[in-house]
Amino acid sequence: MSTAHESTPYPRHSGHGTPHVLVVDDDQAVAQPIASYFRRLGCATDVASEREEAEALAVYRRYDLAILDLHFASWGGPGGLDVLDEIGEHSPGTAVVVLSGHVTHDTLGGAPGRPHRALEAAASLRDRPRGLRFPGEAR
Amino acid sequence: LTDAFLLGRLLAPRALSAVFQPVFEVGGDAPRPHYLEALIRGPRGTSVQSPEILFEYVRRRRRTAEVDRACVREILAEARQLSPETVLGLNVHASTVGASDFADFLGAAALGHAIHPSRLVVEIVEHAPPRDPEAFHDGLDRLRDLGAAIALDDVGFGHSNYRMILECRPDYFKIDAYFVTGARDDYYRRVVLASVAALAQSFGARVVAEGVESEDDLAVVREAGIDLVQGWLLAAASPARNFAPASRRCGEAAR
Repeated sequence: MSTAHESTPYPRHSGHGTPHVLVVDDDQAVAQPIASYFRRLGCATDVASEREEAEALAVYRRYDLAILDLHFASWGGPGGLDVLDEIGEHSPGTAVVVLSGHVTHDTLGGAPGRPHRALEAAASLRDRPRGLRFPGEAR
Repeated sequence: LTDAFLLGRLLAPRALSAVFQPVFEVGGDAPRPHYLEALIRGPRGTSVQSPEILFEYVRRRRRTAEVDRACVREILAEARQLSPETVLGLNVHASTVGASDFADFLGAAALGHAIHPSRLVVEIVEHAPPRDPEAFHDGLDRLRDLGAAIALDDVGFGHSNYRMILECRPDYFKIDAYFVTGARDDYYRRVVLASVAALAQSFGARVVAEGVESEDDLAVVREAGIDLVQGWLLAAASPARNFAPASRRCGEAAR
């Protein structure tokens, strides 16, 4: 499809302007409040409720931060690892926060994302990656 | 939400939309429309509004053939606003062309919207060479039997390479914007443009240069012997209604 010279809703590569956030969760009761939070902060935020949707977004957009549910109920397993792989391949600079009640080193073994444990995830969400600034924050 | 929520949403009637961008003939004194390429947009407000994300999603869901047909229906419905002479380009994946009933579907759908299939340019896009070359060739033959012209999209990019040129034997080589935009400052891009123009001439085909965004781009493709161009310099993509008056000039050329 002739798309290379067409405009997209926002730039393919996230730069130093508006932070870009991807929320991946098939439970809208979880995903939407998270997305709303980041939108209120002024972030351009996408929500993906299917693995293939998240993977397609990861191929074509660059995110500063991805909030990823590892175990989608509709996937029947840790399909979030596939999404994690896509993000790692296409946007290795993206900080990934994994949301799961089942995360262990084994379930995340070999995956390119960090952090590996829930406590580290919480710490990452609180501290945010270096360089990621929300509108209005001092640099 | 169910697993099929997004797919179902984009397959709903009129969920997809089409805009049109002219391919211009620039060989004469003034550019004139040669054909109008239809470009699909996903449902507004969804994550797949952008076409590249839409088709990546659809490919991963393995529903390309179904969505391609939905795109064709939407494009033809929109194209009714155009003048009866307008030649219309529409993008179809190679895997869709290889389906035994696709040409019949396209012919019937076009006639159903009072568009003769001889006014169609089927632009082949692909992520990989056809898995069943024989079925693909049969599909192309059926499209040509209808009177449609064949274009190979994004030549020089991804899988639209020499093999696909041989598989398609296209009437039009559409060279990707990557090789066009900014070519004035890049000797090797200009070499590729000239090479594709010569190759197309050997096949008896014409070349469309995509991504012509400046006077420099236009001059470079003209120097390469390319006289069909598409890009923001001459016209951006826009809804069918914007082309209705001017489109009377579009049907004179393509065949």
